[in-house]
Amino acid sequence: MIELRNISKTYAKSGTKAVDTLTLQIPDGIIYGFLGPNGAGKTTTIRILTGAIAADTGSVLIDGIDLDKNPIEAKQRFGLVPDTPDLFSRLRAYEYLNFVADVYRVPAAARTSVIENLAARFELSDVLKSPISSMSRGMRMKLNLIASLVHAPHNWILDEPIVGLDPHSAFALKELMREHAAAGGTVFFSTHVMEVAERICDELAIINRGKLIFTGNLEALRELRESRGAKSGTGEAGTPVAAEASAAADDESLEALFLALVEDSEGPKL
Amino acid sequence: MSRRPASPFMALLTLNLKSLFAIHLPEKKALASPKVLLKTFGWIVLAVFLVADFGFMFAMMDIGMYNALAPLGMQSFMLLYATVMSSVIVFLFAFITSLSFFSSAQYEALFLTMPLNPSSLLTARMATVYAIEAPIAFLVMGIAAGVYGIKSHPGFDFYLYMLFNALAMPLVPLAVSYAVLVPVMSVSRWLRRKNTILYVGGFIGLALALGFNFYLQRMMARIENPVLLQNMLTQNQLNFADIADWWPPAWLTMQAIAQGRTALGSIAATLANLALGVALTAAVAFLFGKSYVKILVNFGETSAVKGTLNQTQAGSIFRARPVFLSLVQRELRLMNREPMYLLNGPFVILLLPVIFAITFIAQGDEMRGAVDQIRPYLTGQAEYLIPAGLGIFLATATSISCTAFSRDAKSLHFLKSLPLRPRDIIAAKLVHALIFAALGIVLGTVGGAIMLGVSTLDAIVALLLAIFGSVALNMGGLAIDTFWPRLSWENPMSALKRNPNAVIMILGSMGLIAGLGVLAATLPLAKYTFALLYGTIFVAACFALGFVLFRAGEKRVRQMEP
Repeated sequence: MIELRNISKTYAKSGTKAVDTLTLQIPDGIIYGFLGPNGAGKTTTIRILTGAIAADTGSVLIDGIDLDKNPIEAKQRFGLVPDTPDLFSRLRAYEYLNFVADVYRVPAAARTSVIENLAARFELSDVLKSPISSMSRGMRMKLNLIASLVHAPHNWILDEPIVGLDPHSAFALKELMREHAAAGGTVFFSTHVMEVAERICDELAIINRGKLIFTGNLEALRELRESRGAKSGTGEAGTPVAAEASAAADDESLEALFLALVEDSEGPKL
Repeated sequence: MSRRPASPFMALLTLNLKSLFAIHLPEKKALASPKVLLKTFGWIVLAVFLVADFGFMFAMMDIGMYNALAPLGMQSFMLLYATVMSSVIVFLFAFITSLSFFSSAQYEALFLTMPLNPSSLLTARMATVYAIEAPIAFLVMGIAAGVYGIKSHPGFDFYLYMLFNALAMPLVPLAVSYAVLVPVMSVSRWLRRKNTILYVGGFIGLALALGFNFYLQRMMARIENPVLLQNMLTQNQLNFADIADWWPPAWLTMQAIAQGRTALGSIAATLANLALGVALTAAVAFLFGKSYVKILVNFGETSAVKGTLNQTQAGSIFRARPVFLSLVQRELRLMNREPMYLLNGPFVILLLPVIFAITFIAQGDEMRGAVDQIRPYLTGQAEYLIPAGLGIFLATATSISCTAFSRDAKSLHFLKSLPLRPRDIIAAKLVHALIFAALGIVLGTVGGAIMLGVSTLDAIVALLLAIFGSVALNMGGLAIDTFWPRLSWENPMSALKRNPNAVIMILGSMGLIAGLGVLAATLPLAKYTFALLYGTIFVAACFALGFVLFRAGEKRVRQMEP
């Protein structure tokens, strides 16, 4: 389980408040989607909850362990797939996997078994000896997916994992996410791809301009839209946004609901 | 009224030039901040220093040559020399720069989707190389013109011919470089790789720099001795004249500035030089444009090392290691496999002794004389302090410790999300620097002790001092980069070479070594008292820096945000 309590973060250089008093509880055994437009604060939130950057206020608990007070113990409890797959491009794939496995203190036999199994699923077995620099973006992403699971973490955190994956690998990833949640683990992932979120997520959180604007499942999102009146906050009449949001009134897809909710959260246009 | 859009070629050229120089002068408002003002001033001083440094070197050579040749009535030979020198330097720079620009071919290939014809793409790239070459030709020729002008008082037209011929000088080398490189790269898949280009370019560049250094040392040695210079130039005059005759830009330049030439003849030679350069460059752009585009399209083709791992192989490559060893290994691999880091980091330890050896060989008699002059002073504490200083300098010249976190900027988020103690990350970075420091100490201190023929006791004392000193300085460098890392950069070169921490470290260690040397020469203490004093200072510094790095540094790493 992952808990974020009153997290706020302002970047000193730009003065931008990237995350604003965000509180979120991600229970075990579900796939939790984290959605938001570009610059909403998704990656900053993931970086805070993985200890890559420090929050100004608030706390993060991973399986009840405070990340700030017991960082090593807390970090052992999750595996991260970062949004940039271009890590350590001068290493060979197996060297990178070995490094990550060493850091998590995974015995040789266990790491070999996990890597062989996952490499086969993601069709990466043939290139494990290759330099990462020679791999495509999709292959690097798959390598990061394997690295994130090499220590069989309870919590799996993925930042935009679908980007660059071929259909077969995207399918394999979705299956893995379901298996992980079914085994009682937590899956927390951010995405722009609404169709993926709609099909796979049990719960959703939507963030815009650093503030959480929705948490719940898709049904709750639809109900929220209905209760607020589907036609409100649909942008200035005659604009493409208004037309799109108006169409959302009849369209109950996640994308339409997401657009309308984000539009609502930004208030009336001047 | 709307501004007329620039032509696609001009837009591309502007973008190339802006990317090349990437100088962002602060706005007037920003200069109100003392930090920005100081930084801007520092960069200006550095730029002036660099130009002045090279300018001074050429000016000294030109003045020395003029003074040596004037009694023989051969002073205009200095202009021939400057013209040949300028031709050679510009040619070498043009070749290296053209080659190195291929390393960014993958980015340039993005322009292939735009409505630009192949010859425009190549011309824009050649123009960018020209923008680097022209100031070099201008500097070498301009200084020669200035020296000759002050001493011989030629007419104003002399300066104009020198200026226009200097501008023409880089064109033919540019055309020749691309006429050679494009066909070679077209047929060689091996060369169409960024790493290959960086290594090949780096080594050719180093070889040329060493060769140039060798030549300069020889010239400087002779300029200090006018008789030697006169002998060398008069005996080799035909060789210099041969080069000028054989290389059209040099020959035309000499025709333009030759004494007794009519104005019409000088103008014709200058125009011919410009026309030759422009015509050749245009011909290369036209003839090789399509091949150049093919190189861009096919650049960086790699074939992944394929082959399914069998059980035995998997067992042999997936081995568990202690976390700390894995961290150190990561540091070594990431540095040694990045050509830019390797050539400017660990490789420096080997390069500096080679430069020293070249200087020694080139200035043979002078250097031996200098060593003989120093030898009487090589007594007392100098017997162990000089080898120790050499070792400390080599051990800290690699910039490994003082750029350790800066180089990790792109993966810092991920690294910090791993269950690692910041102190382990810091310690691994320090150990990485110290591994190469050990090599520097072996070459500098042990090599220096052998070369100077000091006693075993002095060699051991020097070795101990070098170890303590280099550990302290590397810890200092790492502390600087831990507290003030350069985490925003666009390529590995800027992480290392444009990192102020590297400059601070090299200048700092040189200053410290010089300061301790001066102190040793002035304080009236017994021979080994200095060893005790400096050793105590180094050890105390190690403890203090250890505290800073592993206490405050740990907190700093937690707060570090790229």
